[in-house]
Amino acid sequence: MSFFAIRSATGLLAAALLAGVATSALAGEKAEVIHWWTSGSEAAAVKVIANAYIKAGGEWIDNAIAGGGGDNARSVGINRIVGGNPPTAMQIVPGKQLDEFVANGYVRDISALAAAGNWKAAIPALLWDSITRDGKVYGVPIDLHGQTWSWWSIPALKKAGVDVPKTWDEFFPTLDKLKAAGIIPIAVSRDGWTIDSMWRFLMISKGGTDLFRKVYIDHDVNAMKSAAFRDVVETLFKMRAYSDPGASARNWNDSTALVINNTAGVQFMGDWAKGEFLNAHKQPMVDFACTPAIGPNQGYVFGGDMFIVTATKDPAMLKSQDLLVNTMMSKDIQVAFNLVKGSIPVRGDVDVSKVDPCGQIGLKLMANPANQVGDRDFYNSPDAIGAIQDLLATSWSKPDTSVDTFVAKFAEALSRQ
Amino acid sequence: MTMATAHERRPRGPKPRRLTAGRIGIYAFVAVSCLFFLMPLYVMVVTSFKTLDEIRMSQIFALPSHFSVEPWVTAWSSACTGASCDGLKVGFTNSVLITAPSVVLSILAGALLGYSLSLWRTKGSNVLFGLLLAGAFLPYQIFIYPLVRIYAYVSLYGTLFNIITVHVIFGLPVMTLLFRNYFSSVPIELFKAARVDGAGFWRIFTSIMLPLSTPMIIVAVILQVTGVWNDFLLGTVFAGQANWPMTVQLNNIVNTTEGTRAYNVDMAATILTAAVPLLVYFVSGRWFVRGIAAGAVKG
Amino acid sequence: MARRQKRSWGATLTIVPFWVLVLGAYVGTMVWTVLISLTSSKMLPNTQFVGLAQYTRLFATERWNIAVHNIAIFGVLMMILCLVIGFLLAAMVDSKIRAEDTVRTIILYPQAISFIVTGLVWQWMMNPTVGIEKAMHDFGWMGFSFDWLVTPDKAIYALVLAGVWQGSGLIMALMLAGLRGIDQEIWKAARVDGIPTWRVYVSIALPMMRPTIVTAVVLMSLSVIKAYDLVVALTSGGPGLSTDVPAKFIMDFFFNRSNIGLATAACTVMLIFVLVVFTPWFYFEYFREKNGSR
Repeated sequence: MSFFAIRSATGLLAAALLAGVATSALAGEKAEVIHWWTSGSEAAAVKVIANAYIKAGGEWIDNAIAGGGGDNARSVGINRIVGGNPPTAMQIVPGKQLDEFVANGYVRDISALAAAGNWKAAIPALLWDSITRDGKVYGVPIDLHGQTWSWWSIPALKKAGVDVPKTWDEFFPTLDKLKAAGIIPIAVSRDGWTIDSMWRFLMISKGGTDLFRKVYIDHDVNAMKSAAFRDVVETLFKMRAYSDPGASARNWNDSTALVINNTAGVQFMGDWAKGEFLNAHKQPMVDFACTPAIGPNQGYVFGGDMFIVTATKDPAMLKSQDLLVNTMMSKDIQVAFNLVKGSIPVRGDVDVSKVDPCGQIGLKLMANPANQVGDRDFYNSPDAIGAIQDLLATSWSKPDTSVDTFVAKFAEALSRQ
Repeated sequence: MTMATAHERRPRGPKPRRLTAGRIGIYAFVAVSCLFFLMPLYVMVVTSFKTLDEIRMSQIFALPSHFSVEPWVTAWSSACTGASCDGLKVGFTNSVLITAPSVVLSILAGALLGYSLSLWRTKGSNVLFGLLLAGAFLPYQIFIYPLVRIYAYVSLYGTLFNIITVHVIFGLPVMTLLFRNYFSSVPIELFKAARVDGAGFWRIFTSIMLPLSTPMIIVAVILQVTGVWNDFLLGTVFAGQANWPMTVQLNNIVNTTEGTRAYNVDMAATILTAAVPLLVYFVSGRWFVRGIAAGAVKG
Repeated sequence: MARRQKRSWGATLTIVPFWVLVLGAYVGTMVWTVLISLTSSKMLPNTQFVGLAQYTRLFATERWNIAVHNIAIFGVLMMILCLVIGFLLAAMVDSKIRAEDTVRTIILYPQAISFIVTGLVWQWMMNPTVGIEKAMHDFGWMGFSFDWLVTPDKAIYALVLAGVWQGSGLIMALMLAGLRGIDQEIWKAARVDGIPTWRVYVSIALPMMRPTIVTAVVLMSLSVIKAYDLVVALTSGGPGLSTDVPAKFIMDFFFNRSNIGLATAACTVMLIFVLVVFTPWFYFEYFREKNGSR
């Protein structure tokens, strides 16, 4: 199986790494890790962890499974756990997904590792809640991703003679100018979750933190019937006219590429899109602009990536899990990994000076708990979220959807917990 | 339909004399159809030899200005899926390891069961056949989850054995149907004579029925090689990552993009993945139609 | 029944493992599926009985109704088109054209290609920004529009197009075999009587090919009901949900939406549908006439 062991993409490092693989085979601390990081920057970020793990004497068996925003990878992971051949660790979305894993005893309790690593003091309280059940720690929160960002091509804006809109009043006129300049105003992608990214940007930035919390945490039907909510829906519908026919055939990173090469004006996507810009050697605030908010509302919807280590009695597996968890949460790796990934470190006790300008905006917002909003996954079942994504994808593709229908269906979807 | 003459059949349609308006019409229709069927293959081949820059500049039907084999090399040996960049070559070996035993075993099983069902009729054989046929019509999704649990229970989940036996199980209905119908059309006298000579169940199977069924075996091989090789769903679920077939690797490669999507590498990878079943068709296409004529059609 | 022989240990011993396999892998899993559909199972199966609640919810789920609607359109169109095109091609190939082998291979080769590949290639060709539409615009035909893939109301036809491209070859092969099974005397007689060729095909050849057509329909129903790979690779069910199909619905709820209860309920509905529609027909085709004739 050594051919699955990770190898560096660059020739210079290859020899050193191969040596690492060879020695690690003797050490036998094998980590088989299931994840869905397959885009350019994501794969580069995995390599940061893998290299550190190999350097610490382990062997890394990479299990990248593309597609479906992690759905495929999760299926394989669950099948393997159920099938009695659990991976060392697997990626899941923080939030409600953890419940059933824990309830079935599939996840290892890593409270001791968390205590030794001083996690509780180092990470935001909301995040701490998301990895603990009944006071025990079950998740390794590796990064913090802002879920609701907008990414603007500065050359495209210049060509159209406009700036990043500062208020919502300027929003559509800006898009009109982009369109007039022959640029695709909004780079939209085909999957439901990408429309959902756009939707939550509107929810937090146009609707505000209060509305977001009322809808996604309290499931408050009155909030969904409010004028503010309807305004968000209408804005989303109005944005349809600013997409292009190619959208239905694009993955999220294909759309990012359009902004990178200035074919499109803006993409609404979580901050993993930034990794694609950096990977293409684009400079924040020079080649591209980033903002999590248009107008006065300053909420920051954060989610992130989380790993679970599977429950096991095998001492060799326990050992490699310890090494893996400690590697992922060490201060150095937190900084190095998140720089490549485009996210921000979960630990507040690390040096964040190297974080790029976009990340700095996120860090600043996160510093005030009033701005922190946990992503929908924290409070809703995959089923309910899926139903909303179905609704968003359908409504987006069918211009005759009325706001009333949308509101009614939205409430129904969120009731499926 | 009797088998004896089926092999020798040649075209039977009305005999053409010379180029009439009707003949021109026929050739025009055939030509347009061929263009339609060839178009995707043409686009795939042409694109796979272009550089990314050229793909961006030119349109999909244009020939490459200079042929670049690099996409092919990349697709075969260094395209990335996630953090590992080993290309399709690993998947190729896996696909061979999965396909060869699966095809042999499922044809043997189908022939044996078809033989038992058509000539020996044990108690309840109609029920067994009915259950199998019902199974053939159900989406795989129904079986996947419980099968995962069953294999897990005997600690065989995610192994080569797992994926091969799953292919045998899911190939069984169609294979049985083929051979059952074929053996049903064998003259009953042949079977009776063998019985009178004292030949038993196995003897009749190995020395009379199997040799007789060559045309059917060819059809079965073609169907199973393409079916198993092209499978994606079962491979993802049951093979285990170490044994992932080429189709799964292809899907991962196509979905792993570094900035701009590498259409040329995707297309080269696509052709490489399709190469084996294509070869089987190009080599044995003529026998396929004859094999079908020799029995598969029989309701 | 003439074929029933004296008891043979060989036959019995052979059939027993197949019974085990069919009962375990087919019947057992079906029973399990039905049972789980009566529980509240989410990400993992549980045993909390909820009656028919999953079914109530399933039929109230708009997405399921869309999926059923889509598979009906896809199935009917795909069958009609494949049968018509397959028959026409077979008739053409059968009329002593030149290079018959080459033509047959060209028509048949898509059959060798996986749905994943078919989906990718057609997705690319039907994508208006890079595919055929762009090529036509580059040629100077600016009015050309081919936007099925990205238009919700037309996307299902994109699926049919790719399906027909892949599937009609096999139907052609079956039809060709069927045509060649027709007695040559019939052609001679028809020619002597001065009946036009097309009438011989329509009035004599077609009715004689009933078993062939039945086989073709059976094979196509198999691939229509199982349609999953093609949908995932070509449209991923989109735009929106406009090309969602039951198999994809089931996979999504099984694994991605972590709602096994609803997924198994959908499986059970398909199971019942297949049994209700095909059982009488199976019986008619495979058992009734055989028992009579032998």
